[in-house]
Order: sequence, then structure tokens, then C-alpha cells
Amino acid sequence: MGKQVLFTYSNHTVLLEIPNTTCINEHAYRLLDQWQLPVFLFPKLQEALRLFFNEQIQIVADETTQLAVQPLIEGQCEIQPLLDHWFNLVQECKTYIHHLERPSDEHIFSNAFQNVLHTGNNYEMLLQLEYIYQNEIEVLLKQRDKEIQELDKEHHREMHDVVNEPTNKYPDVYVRNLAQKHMEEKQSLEAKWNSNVSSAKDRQKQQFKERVMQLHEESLVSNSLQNSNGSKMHARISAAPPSPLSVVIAVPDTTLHERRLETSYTVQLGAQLKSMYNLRLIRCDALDYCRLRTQKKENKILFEPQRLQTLMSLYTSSLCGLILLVPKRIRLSTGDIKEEFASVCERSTDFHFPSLEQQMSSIEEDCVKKANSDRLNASVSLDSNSIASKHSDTSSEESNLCSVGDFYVTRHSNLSEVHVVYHLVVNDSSLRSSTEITSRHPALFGLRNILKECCKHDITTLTLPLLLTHDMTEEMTIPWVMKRTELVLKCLKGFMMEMGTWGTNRCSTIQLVVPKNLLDQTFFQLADHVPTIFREPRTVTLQF
Amino acid sequence: MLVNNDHLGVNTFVASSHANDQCGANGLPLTPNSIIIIGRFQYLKTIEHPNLCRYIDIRKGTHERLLVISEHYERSFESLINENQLLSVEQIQQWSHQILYSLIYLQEKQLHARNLSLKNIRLTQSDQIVKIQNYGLWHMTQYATCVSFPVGDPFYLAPECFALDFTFKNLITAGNGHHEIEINDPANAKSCVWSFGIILLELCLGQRLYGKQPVAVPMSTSVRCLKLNVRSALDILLRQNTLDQDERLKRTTTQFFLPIIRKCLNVQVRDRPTFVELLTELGGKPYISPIPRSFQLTLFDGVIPVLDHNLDLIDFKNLDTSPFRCRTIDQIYYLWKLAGGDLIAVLKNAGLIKISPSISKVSKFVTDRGDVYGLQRDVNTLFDDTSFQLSLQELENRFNEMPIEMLHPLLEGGGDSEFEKRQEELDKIIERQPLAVRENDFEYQFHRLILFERLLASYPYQKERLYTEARKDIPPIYRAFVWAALLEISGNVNDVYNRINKDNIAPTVIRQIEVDIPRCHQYDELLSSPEGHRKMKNVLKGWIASHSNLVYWQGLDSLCAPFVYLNFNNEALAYASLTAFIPKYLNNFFLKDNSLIINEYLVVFSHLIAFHHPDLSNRLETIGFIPDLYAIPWFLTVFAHVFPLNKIFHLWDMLLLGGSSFPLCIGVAILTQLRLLLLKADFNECILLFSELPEIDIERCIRDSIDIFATTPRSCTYREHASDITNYQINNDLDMDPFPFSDLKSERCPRISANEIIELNDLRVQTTSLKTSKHLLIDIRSADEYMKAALPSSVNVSYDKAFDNQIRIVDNRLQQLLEKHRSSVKVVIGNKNHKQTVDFTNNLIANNHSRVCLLHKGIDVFKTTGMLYVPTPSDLP
Repeated sequence: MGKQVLFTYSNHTVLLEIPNTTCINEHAYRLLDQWQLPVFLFPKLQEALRLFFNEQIQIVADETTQLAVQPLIEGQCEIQPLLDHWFNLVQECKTYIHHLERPSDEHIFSNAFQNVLHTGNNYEMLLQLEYIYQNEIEVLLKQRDKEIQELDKEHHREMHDVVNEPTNKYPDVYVRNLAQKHMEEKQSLEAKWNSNVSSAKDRQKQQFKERVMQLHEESLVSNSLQNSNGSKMHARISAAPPSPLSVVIAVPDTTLHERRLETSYTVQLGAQLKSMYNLRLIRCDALDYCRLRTQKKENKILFEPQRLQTLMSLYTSSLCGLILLVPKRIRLSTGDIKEEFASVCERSTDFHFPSLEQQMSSIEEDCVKKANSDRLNASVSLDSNSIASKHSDTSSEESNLCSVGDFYVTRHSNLSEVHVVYHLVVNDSSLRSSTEITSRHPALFGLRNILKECCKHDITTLTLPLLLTHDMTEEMTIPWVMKRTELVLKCLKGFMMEMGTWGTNRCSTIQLVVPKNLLDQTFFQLADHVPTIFREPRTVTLQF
Repeated sequence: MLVNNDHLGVNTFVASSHANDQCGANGLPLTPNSIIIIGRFQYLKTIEHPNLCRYIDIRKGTHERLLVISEHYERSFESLINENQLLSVEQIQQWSHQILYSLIYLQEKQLHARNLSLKNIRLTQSDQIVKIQNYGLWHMTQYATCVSFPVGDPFYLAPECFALDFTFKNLITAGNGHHEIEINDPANAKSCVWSFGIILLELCLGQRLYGKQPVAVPMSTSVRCLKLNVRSALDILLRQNTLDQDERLKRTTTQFFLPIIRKCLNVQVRDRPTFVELLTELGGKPYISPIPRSFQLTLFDGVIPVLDHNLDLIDFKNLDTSPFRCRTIDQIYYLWKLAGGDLIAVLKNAGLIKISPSISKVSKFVTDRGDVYGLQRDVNTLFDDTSFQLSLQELENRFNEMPIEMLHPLLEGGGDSEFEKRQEELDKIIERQPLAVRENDFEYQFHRLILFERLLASYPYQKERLYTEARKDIPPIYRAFVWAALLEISGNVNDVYNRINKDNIAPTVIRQIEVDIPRCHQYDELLSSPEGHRKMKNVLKGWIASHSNLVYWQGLDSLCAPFVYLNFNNEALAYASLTAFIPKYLNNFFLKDNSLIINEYLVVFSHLIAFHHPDLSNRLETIGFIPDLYAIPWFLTVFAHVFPLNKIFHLWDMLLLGGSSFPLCIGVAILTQLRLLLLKADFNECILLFSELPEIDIERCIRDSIDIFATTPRSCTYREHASDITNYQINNDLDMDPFPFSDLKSERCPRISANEIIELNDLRVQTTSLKTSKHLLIDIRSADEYMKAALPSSVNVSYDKAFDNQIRIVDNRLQQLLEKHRSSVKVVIGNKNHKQTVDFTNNLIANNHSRVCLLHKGIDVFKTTGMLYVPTPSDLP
């Protein structure tokens, strides 16, 4: 963009860059040297330069402006796109948006909930409510499972009779029709129950919200009463229904976690400025972080303290996340951790967020399809030159599949210790069998992207499967475990070092989960291995 | 200074974030926009003009949010319009002059206001003085490339601005690497003339030109003017707003200004007058540059600051005597923070920041390449240019409660003795507090602030006092200047710096610098910004260009970083500080062949380790972990490569008061903290330990190094290549003088000079004996030689009888003496058989005896002094 202009001072001339980047005094000294002028000329030269630059900069600016404006004047350029561009820009300013959206229902509710949970003993009431609702759902689910089981049994018997009929009395068509009929019956039963459950959940959700809003209003009113009267009048507008149950926050029996092993480390990272992280190595079932373990003993409901903690921090800026490894298909499939996770979610109502199915289908509809078509376009434009662009074989089926390294995010309020779940897409079988995965494996990129998301969205505690698998198989020998651990930890360390540049809220607690059927001995070996990669700081010596 | 209605204000906006994982041309991740903005903001702090609101500070919130603190006034031209005031010609003229003065000033500073509007022109309480605010937004946002909102109010923007921005943004996106290259400012100063014209028109009419019409109207009107073949847009604008027949146009005020407004609203920029031309047309006095007043512009610039640099003549008239009100606005802000001011909380309460819960903002889907889907636009990040006033009432109350001793530190004694006593008591109470407490103590910092402000203003007159006070601590707000004073910088640093021709530097060196800078203290906001990189580069280039005998070694960048950080707006002072610092502490370390200097330094360092921690020295020697393996970056950067900036500041606060050997003591102090770990570690663990050095408690490190400095005889740190060698050498036989490096290397303990022994043991007094002596003087000659002549108070332990062949001590008397004098310095005195002396000391160290040193040149140096005496047999064992 720069241009050079001739600067003349008495009988000396020099070409100078416009606009100039060095300071005028420096220019002046340079010219004094160059032209071997006496130093007393400095002020004069300086002034001459100042005037020169003032003038020339204005000339250049006028030229640039002219260049930008000319196409508009001459009509080579339409005015409308320009105005549209500016109209969009202006939308970024509050002043020019007259119809600012009013706060969403979700927002109002989150505020109210936060407020209610933190005032007085309201949390007991909410927990009680939660337990009652949860119980109701569980009863429903049990009935559903029982009926389906009975139906299955009956079908089985019927089918058995038909197939084992020695005289081939029933033709094949009949058997096929029977099977068809059984399936339809089962589906309709399931559908019936599922709609029962979901309508129960909807009702509960509605009731819960109403209750919270009511409590919120009460607390507002009582606050304002207190303020106006100055007296501590506890005028309850409507007393809560007396309940025979009382809420107790208690650490649950350890028997539940019989195979749980745990060690923790405090590590520092960074060359000059050090930042602290907590690492925890845990042997347990990853879904232990999700399952609610509320129990009833006599008239007491025993809540885990973690549960209350999770509720309390739901709308704050320190959230807990969990990584689950899932297959490419978003829809539910049987026999993997996803199904198990879905059944954990199903067991109680999420009062704050849409149900897992709703969230997943919205992800599939809104995001995955768009992402896949973007990816396709990108790859097409990349090899647009090559003739063999292979976008013919992309059926609609394919467009709903994720790639390895993608992840989708669901939000939950009805899990024990987790607010946000990252479903990281992996190719399970290849991850298991191959001994040699490198740091450039897409699953590890996914892990990095997850950490980055954590930083952006205030997830400060993240739980992840250290071995990139949720259960142990026979192929996973001790050397395999050690090698995999080393790889993942080293990558993790690199990502954590990067974290500083990603955002202001670091993900400072990282929980590394290993499958619960890992041998004790291997676990201890792992526990010894962690500090060789993440160096622990020396113990602090207190001085008195 | 603050006049009664001056206040601090804060406003906030959110920088746009980069698309996922982009890298710049140098292969490093892109700098976040917020960091770019913070870097560019710093220059705005140097803007000082009576008609411009001062910019004070910028802070980073979470999620790319930025908070800008500036001078703030409630009243604006907008309030005038709302009040329907009828304005006189004189009044408008007076304001116009002020506006033009400030615009000319900005132009000289190469800044474009770009967003001149009724709202951004503020007034002091009396309505007499115009104060323009928010003028820096265009500059700090890198011409709006770092934010998603437009800079400039469309109601006031000149037609070309719309087109310029459009082409500019296209250019940037096409270039797609706007972070690496310097972008030229596309703005034209004359665009402000248009805005100025509209404002004049609005003042004359007493209403907003476009009334309450939506924002699309001024935009399209303005742009469409370009297509119409008219010289001035005035008539079109009036007609568009059905004002062309308005009665108000016929008023005398309007009639007076209308011709000028017409010129301002010329559609083509080249037809519009410049600010200076406008000023003449409006009958203003010619522009004069304002006198710089703040420390950053006056200290070390050859400008002698007036007694109270904050006052000029007009200010004297409304001088306020309250202790609070006569502080500068920077000080007020600094104290406001110390008093617990929380910007985020203030803005939240004002409703300027609304934060929706994090969980409602998480994205839904992220691809393997990191592209994010399902993220909702957070309406809370929309731009709002309202600034909010910070309440200073609390602060003022605290000021009023403050005892007078705090407010008026005395520079010269001899006044009121009782007053001085009270002040001393106050000092004593606070002195015991840890540094972190002192630095955050409101009252104490206030006291120090005034004290140092005065000491600096009088520099170098009260230099001694400055040293004494700096020994207690240095107030962070004035650290840059205090350091400069401690480094004895004088004269006009700008002049010196500008004279350096920085362009004749070998390209290889430039490349090396360019590689090193983006890796130097990048956790810091200022140093990681492109502006910070630029400044680092300039200062380094300046240093290299002006030191032709020295070269750039990696590490110079780390050394430069603290100075650039502290003097971010003053490259010249950063350069001057660096230039004074290097010969003082790193004399000749940057020679092309620096091996001699570094080797000597490291050997002296290992002597010091043996002197203070013989056990550690023995251990490290056994496993072969020598200082060459870890300590070179320590000393070459004076620990600037080892510690984060905040720790370097405290460390160097102390360092700058010490001599050239102080870094050695710091090195020993660090090892002291790591001692237990090192004693257990093997070679590999040591290497790992030093490659990722554990956190060091810096306050303890400082305390330890002062102790070490105090307990080490001065001559023990003698280095032939030190710059302050004159401190060791008085051209006397009894002092240190150069000796072969091979000798130095073969010895494990330091040498002490005869003079220092004399000094410390009062050898000149006849009555000295073993009991009064501060040192344990061990004479290792044979008893015969000893009996002929010896130093008073020395003991004779003959070399032959002291150790067995496994280097165990066999002489009982020696054992007892060493036990008894465990913590005192042990000087081994030998004669010409130097090897014996060295062996003896090495054996003592091998037996873990600390503070062992040997007499430089042996007993013979004392021969001419007449201090030797003839011992009696009772002196022998």
C-alpha cells in the first residue's frame, strides 16, 4: 500500500515511505547523518519533516479514499450490498436493535432455580420433590419392563408351539405373519409405555417448574416484606405440604464402589508462569458419575452430597463434564455404553433440559447434517481439479453418520456428578485392537477439541476414559495398557499446556477413569507411571 | 488533576474470536483479538490533552471481554440537545475550537477518532470545557478488524467511511493473515470533518439531524450522496429531514455557522477543509501542542518537570486542597483498585454486563477438525457504548480518615521531630508485613506513592533517599522509573534512542530475534501482543545497533522483556535501562566469545555453593552435575528466563540495589530451596528437575540471597571480568588481583583477600586473639614456620597431621575448632606451597564444613604490613 515520495531539504533530496512508520525525530537524525548536516539544523529539519508528512499523509489518504469511492460514484459497484453489509454490522450494536429479545423462559427459570436453591432450606424441598418424582418414574419403568417381559414370554411360547408342531401344519407364511404380529404388538406396547413415561415426565417437569417459580415469588415477596417492615416476618403464603420424609445428605455406603480405586496428584505446568492442575486416577465405571444413588431408609431420603453440589453448580461457571466414547451412529443402538447411558438418563426426569432423545435428534437434524454437507463441499472444492470426486455414494444414511473424532454435547441436570456429557465418536474396534495408535489419531484430536470446548464454556472438571475404552478385553495386556496410558497422558499434557491460550477459565481438574475390571496390580503400576509424565511439585515446607 | 466533577468511567465490549485453530505465517497460533487490542491500547495511555478524556487502563474479563477505564464526564452534547438550550455563537465557537485542538492533537499522534458524535463529546460541569471520549476505539480495535461491530456512529459517518470500510474488510479477508502484517489505517482524517459538520448543524438547530429515524436512513442518505453530483451534501441532508424550510435556519447563530457547515459536508474528501483550516475559519487561535505533564512523558526526557507537574495556571484557580483531589487520575485508579474496586461487579450491577449461565451456551456438535455447530449467538456480547461511572465516594472517605503522617512524607529531616517519630512508627509496623501485603495495603501504598512521586520528581537530587526507600520496597506503579533511577540513567533518553540507526543489522540476527520474541514470556498479555513483539524487536535492534562490540545471544530477549513490559510506552527508557543493566550485571557476557567470562562466573558460582552448602557441592560433584549444565541461562538472563514477570520484578527490585555479584547469591538461594530434593536425586533426575524447575518461593529466595550476600566475604566473589572490579582492587598487594583460570578451577573454595581479613578481624588492633576473631584463621604451615611469624589470632594446624589418607580429620584440635566455629568463616592460610592449601580446603569441604576459603597469595602478603607477630609456644597445641 505504501508509496515513496521525494522529500527535499535545501539541496538534499531523499525518497521517503508514506505513510511513515518510524518517528519523525529518528528520521531527522538519520537524515542529518546521511547528509552530514550540522546538528543545530535538527529542529528545522524536524519541523520540515513534520509538515512534509502531514501533507503527504493527507494526500495518500485522499487517494485511498478516492479509490474506494470511485466505483460507487461511477456505478461499477452497487450501493445496496454495501448498505446490507452495514445493516448487518449495525445489528451488532445494542443501540440500533429496537426489539431486543426478552429473556427466554429457560433463562428466567434458571435464575429462579438458582435463587430458590440457595435460600434457606429450600434445597430440602427440591430434593424431596426430586426423589418423589424419581420414584414415580421408576415404578412406571418397572411396570413397563414387567409387561414387556410377560409379552415376550407369551410370544415365545406361542412361537414355540407353532414351530415345534411336528406336522408342518402351519405354512411358512403363517409363521412369518405371526412373527410380524408379535413385533407389532411389542412395538405398540413399548410405544404405549414410552408415551406414558414421557407424559409423566412432562407433567413432572411442568409441576417442578411451577413449584420453583412459586417458591421464587414467595422469596421475593418475603424479601420485599422484610425490607418494607423491617421486621422479620415469615409470612408464608402457602405452607409446603407436610411430608413424612426428611432429607439427609449422607455419604453413601462404600459397598457400592467395591472395585473403586483412586489416587490423586497435584501437578504444575508451564515454563515460567506455572499453573496448578488436579489429576485423579480412578478405577470405576464411567457411568458411576451419572447414576443417582438416592436411597430411602425408614423415613429418610439419603442423598449423596455430590448430588446437591451438582445441582448447586448447575448455573455457575464451574461445570463438570464427562467423556463417553460412542459409535458413529447418533441413534441409539444396543449393547454399548450409549444404551446404558440412555437408560440411566431415562430413570429420572430432567427438569431443566430436554430429554436425551430430544437433544440427540436435534443434534442430528440441526448439526450433523449441516456439518457433513459442509465437509463434503470442502472436500469437493479441495479436489475439484481431480475428476474422480466421489460424492455420488453419499446416501441420506451416510449424511447422518459422524466421523471419528467428532463429538456432540448433551446437557443434563438429573445425573449424579455431571452437567455436560461429551459423546466422542470413536471406531471402537480399531481403538481396541490396534496397539499402535499415534498422537495424530482423530480420537485424540477429539480429546483436544473437547478440552478446548471446556475452556470456552467453563467446564472446570472433566472426566475421561484414560485408555480410550470403557471396558477391558483380553487383548488389553499390561504392556498395552502402559503404552496406551503413556500416549494419552503425553497428549493430554500437551493439550493442557496449550490451554493457557484458549480461555480464561482453565479446566483445572481432570479425572482419568480406567475400566473397573482392570487388575489391582496394573492400576498401581499406572499410578506410579503418572508422576513420571506429569511432574509433581515438591512438597511445600511451611515455615514458622 | 481532578476537578470536582472528574470521575473514572468504565465501558466494555467483546472482541471477536478467531475461527478454529488458525495459524499465522510463522506457524504459531493466532493471537486472540483481545490481546491485540490490549497491546494497541497502551499507546492511548500517552494521550494527554485538556480536551480529551484520558485513557487509564484496559482489563481483560472472561471470554474475550474487555473493560476500558477512562476519564468520565456525565454531561454531553446530547444532554444539551435534550435540554433544548439556545446556544450563542460565542459558545459554539469556543467549543469548536476546543474540539479542533483535540482533533489536531490526535492527528499529530496519528490517531483517527472516527466516532465523533453528540454522545462522545462530553462537558465538564461548568459546560466550559469540552472533553471528547471513546476516541481511541478505532485505534485499539485495529481499525475495527478485531471486533464484530462497526466503529463510528452511522448518524455521523461520512459517506466515504462506508465504502472504505467495505473495501478494507474485503482486502483483509482476502489477505487472510492480517495478524502478521502491519495494516495501514484506512481512515481519512477529513472524515471527522464531516462528523464535525453534522454536530455543528445539530448544535445550531438544537435537535438531532435525523430526529428519531431508524439507523438505515442516515446510512443510505449518506452513501447516496456519493452518486449525486453535488459539492456539498448540506441541502440534501436538510431536505431529507424536511428541515430545509425550517425557521431555525434563519437564526443568527445558524446563519453564522452555515457556510462552514456547508464546507464540512462536502461530499468529496479533497474538497473538505482540514482541521487547521477550519480552526482559522472559526477564528480560533493557532494550535499549540499541550505541555506533557505525566511522569511517563517527562521523566528522563530532558524535560525538567515543574514542582507539581500536574498543575498548570488554569488549574491553580480551582485548586482543591483536599488530599484526595490533588492526586492524578492514574493514582486515583490505582488506589481505587487497591481499595477493593471490582470492575466486573460494577458493570454487572449497572446492567452493562449480563451473563447467561455457562451451561446454556455450550455448543452442540464439534467436528474432528474443531468446527463448531449449534452455538447460539449470545445477545449479551452485543456492543454497547455506554460508559459507567465508578463511584469514588468510598475512596474519598478513606482518604479523609487517613492520618496526616501518611499523607505527607517528608523528604528532608530537621522539621517537626514528633511528626517524624510518628512516621517512623508507622513504617515499623508495616515493615514486618510480607511484601504481598504491603503491595496491596491501601494506606501504605498511598504513602509510598506520594513519597516516590516526590523523590522521582526531584531525581537526582534525593538519590540517596531514593535508595534507602527502595530498599524497603518499590511501589509497583512507579517501578519503571525507580529502576531507571537505580540504574543511574540520566539525560534525554529519547534523544539517545532516536539517534541510533536501527536498520543496519544483519538479517540473520533479525531472523533470530523474530524467532525468539514469540517465545518469550508469552503468557503475558502485553508481551504476547503484536504491539509488544514490535516493541521488543525495536529495543533489541536498538541495543544491537549501538553495541557493535557485543552480539545478540539468545537470552537477551528474556533480559529485555521486563524493561519493555514496564516501559511499554517508552521504548527509549526501556532501551536505556537495558543498556545500563547489562554492563552492571553481565559485563562482557554478550561478547562474541564469552566463554572466558562465563566459565569464570560458573566456577565462582560453584565455589559459592561449596562455601555455603558443602554437602550439596559434594553431592553434585560426585554425580557430575556441574553448574554449566543448568546455570548458564540463569546468569545470562539474570533469572529472567527462569521466573515469571511478577517474580522477576521483586527479585530485580532487590538485585538493582546490589552489586554485580548479587546474581550469584540468588543462584545459591535457589539451590538452597531445592537442596533436599537435589541431595536425593541422581543425575537424570537433576536434569529433569532443572528442565522443569519447581515453583520457587521468591520472597524466601530474596531473603536467602540477602543473607548469603551478607555472609559471604566480598572478595570471595571476585571476578576478573566483573565491571565493578574496582570494588575489589585498590592496587594494593593486600587486595585481589587476577590469577590463572586453571588455579581458579582447581580450587573448590573461594579466595579471600588479606585486606578483608584485616578489616573483619581488627588485626590492626594489638589485642586480637582467637576469642575476639570473627574468622577462624587456620595456619597450615609447619609448626616451625609458624613459630617464626604468624598472624595474631591464627591457629596452627599443620597440613601433614590434619588428615588421614581417607581424608578424614585426624587432628582433634582441628575437629574441636571446627565444631566451635561452625558458622564462622574459616580461612586457610598457607604459604608458597599452594597445592597444600588447596588440598587442605578441599578436604575440609569434603568433610562438609561450610564457609571455607583460602587466603589469596598466602601468608607472605602480610610480611610487609608488620602485623605478623612471633607466637609463643603456648599458642601451639
